[in-house]
Amino acid sequence: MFKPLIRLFAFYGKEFNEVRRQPRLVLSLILGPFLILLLFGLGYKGTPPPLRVALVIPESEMSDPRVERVKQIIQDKFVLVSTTSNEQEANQLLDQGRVDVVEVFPDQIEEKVTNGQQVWVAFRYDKINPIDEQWLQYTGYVEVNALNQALLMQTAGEMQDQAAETNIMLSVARQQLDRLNENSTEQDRAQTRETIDELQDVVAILVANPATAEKVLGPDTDPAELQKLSENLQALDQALATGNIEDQKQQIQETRDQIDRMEKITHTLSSTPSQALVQPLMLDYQNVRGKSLDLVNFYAPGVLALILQHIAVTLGALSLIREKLLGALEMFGVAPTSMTQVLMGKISAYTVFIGIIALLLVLLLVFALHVPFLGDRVSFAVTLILFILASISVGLMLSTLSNSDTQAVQLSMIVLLVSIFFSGFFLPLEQFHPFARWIGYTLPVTHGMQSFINIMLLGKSPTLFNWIWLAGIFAFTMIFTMIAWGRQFRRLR
Amino acid sequence: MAEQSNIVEMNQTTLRFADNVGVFDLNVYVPKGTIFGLIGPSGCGKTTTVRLMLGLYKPDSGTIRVMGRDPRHFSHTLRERIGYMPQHFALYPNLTVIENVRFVASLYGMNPLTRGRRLREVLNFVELADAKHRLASKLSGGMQRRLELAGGLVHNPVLLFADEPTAGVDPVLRGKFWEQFRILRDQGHSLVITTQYVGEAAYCDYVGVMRQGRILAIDTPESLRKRAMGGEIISMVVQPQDVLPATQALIHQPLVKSVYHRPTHGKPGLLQIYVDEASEALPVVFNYMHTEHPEINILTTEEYTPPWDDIFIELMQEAEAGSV
Repeated sequence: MFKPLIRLFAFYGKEFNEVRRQPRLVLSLILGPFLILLLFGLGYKGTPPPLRVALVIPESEMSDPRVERVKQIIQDKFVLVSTTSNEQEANQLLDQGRVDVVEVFPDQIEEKVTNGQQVWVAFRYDKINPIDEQWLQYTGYVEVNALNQALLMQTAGEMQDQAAETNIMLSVARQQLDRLNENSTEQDRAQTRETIDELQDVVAILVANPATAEKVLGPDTDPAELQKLSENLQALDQALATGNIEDQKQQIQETRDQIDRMEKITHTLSSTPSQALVQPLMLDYQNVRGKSLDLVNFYAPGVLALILQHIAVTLGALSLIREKLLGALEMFGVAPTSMTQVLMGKISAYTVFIGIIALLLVLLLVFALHVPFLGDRVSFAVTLILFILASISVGLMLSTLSNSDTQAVQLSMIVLLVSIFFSGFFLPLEQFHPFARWIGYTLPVTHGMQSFINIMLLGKSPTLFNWIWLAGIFAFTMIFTMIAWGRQFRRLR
Repeated sequence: MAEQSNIVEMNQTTLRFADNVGVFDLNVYVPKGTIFGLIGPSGCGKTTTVRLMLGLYKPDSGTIRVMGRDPRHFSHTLRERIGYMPQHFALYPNLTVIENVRFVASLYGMNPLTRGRRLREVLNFVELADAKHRLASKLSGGMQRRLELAGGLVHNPVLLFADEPTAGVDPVLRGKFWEQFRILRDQGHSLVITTQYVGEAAYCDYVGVMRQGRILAIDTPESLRKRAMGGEIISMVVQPQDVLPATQALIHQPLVKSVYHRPTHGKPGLLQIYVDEASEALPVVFNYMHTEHPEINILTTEEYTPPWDDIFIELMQEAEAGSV
């Protein structure tokens, strides 16, 4: 009655004794992954090195004091290696690998902008790494944004100065109009007329040049209203000249209202900080989890999953091959034991063994590297067992495809490589085409890693999707292994 | 051999591999409680035959019965009564002697709580009790073979298959192995043992001589010897000048089948006299020569047992001549 159990535990004890006889292996299995993580944490900076730039400024612009400001802005993101007006010289630096990018400014930037043209700043580079290229393009984008912002700030400042001047003039005009009545003295009327003449000149310019009007009165300026004001000012000027103010009372009031509105607009324009005009919207970042994790903490669950899978796959792949090469399968074939007992005995031993390694690694991660463990320990244990079972069974399946130790190890390494690329460890799964995502789904590490991140870092439960996939991988690979090895078991031919 | 008493029976069993190698038309009967030796050169099909008997190979034709059952359908209970010592070391180098033996004991379902005595017995039997905590990888070749034997015997099987247990083992240890096999036989076990060493045929109760996948002969060692040599041999040494008259005299003796002069360096007058039964014929022939031909000076007369190498070569040559 207990014989099947005795046989199962025979493999359990055998595997365990064999592993414990190799203390260096055990030590490397536990300390190796921990040291990898530690070195990764200590060695990885997380930010790309600053890009070196050669700046090309046209000879005619070299003496412009604004070039220094441009250089300052560039040096926020780049290391400025050279400033030259010789583009060929800059290109040579790029060829020689002494700079990462050549940044070429065209001539007559201000004129072109004033004439409503866009000006192109050329970034030349020779990167073949797409990530480097993306980083360079992003940095260039940020730099040109900063330059644009500086230009806008300058323009806004000029506009505010003009608006302030106009505002004063409008204010004077309004006050004089308020004082104008039938009792006004000749002197008052003369002063008012003088002011209205000045105002007429300004309004005439604004009517003739809508762009300037927008600069002074803002983008919502109505040209028809300016035209009406111009006409009213002209009529008022004539009335003051003839002294016939009484008949123009209504027009005076209308003009006064128009001036009042324009005064308010110019006041708002001149009193608003230029920063608010140029950058009316700002970003406010808020991470509801407090703050993001450092890279070691973020990658720890992924590395844990990757390493555990590799150990399990390798042990599984080598296990049956070694039995076969040793000739033990022949012995099992004669003994009163079944293929299922052989496999289950091995799987249970490896599961306990890898489980102990996982436990020690998690303790090291949490207490030595301070990786958070926010989730439920039971969920973690269930996930871990499913993950280890699935990984071992993948290894056992590989053993059916191998004829030697070397082949088994090679196949394990291929699984490791596929895992690094397709599990979402470095590149998010969502960035793959759907067909390629399925490759990731067939790997235990994909689900192990997602579940470990959920449990350890987010404090969430693992998803049913991950559990079902892990169970599915285990079931499929075990069936495959049973069929493949079953053909050899008790049947050497 | 009565059929009921055979623990192994193979009838017209054939298994063909690629290139027309394999075993062909095997008829083997192993009586219970005997040592059956399967002897032949490397690659002649001994291991294949054993694997067929164990159900590891399926025959292309013919039938096999081991303990009354087709080996392909052995029950677990029946498997527990069979021991197997494979040709190559199939135990675990990283386990100690006792751990290896325990592992095999567990494979055979032996209760860990009650098997201790049996483990000690078997380690004593193979003389590995003092080395039980030594790693298998640290054992000598001979000790590894003994450990394998312990693995094959730990569950006290009724029938033991040992595939070339003495291969690569020194002559003294080989002698010990056979001594242990005979003890097992005497305890009632049946043994099927393969070997390349033809001299070991002498230790067997029955011997099957194999060559190129076929059984050339199968019988007791003595019968095989007679069959190969055409009878038994009496060795007679006379003075060199008496060789011819002695030969002429001997061929007229009714029990003598033939006489050959086989001079050696120290015995120029050595004659080999072929008879049916050497033990019966020796006194008769001696008296005949003494009384009928007293002029011939006989120096020595004795039964001669030819080495198994010679017997084996004879059988091979007969097979090649197509007469076996």
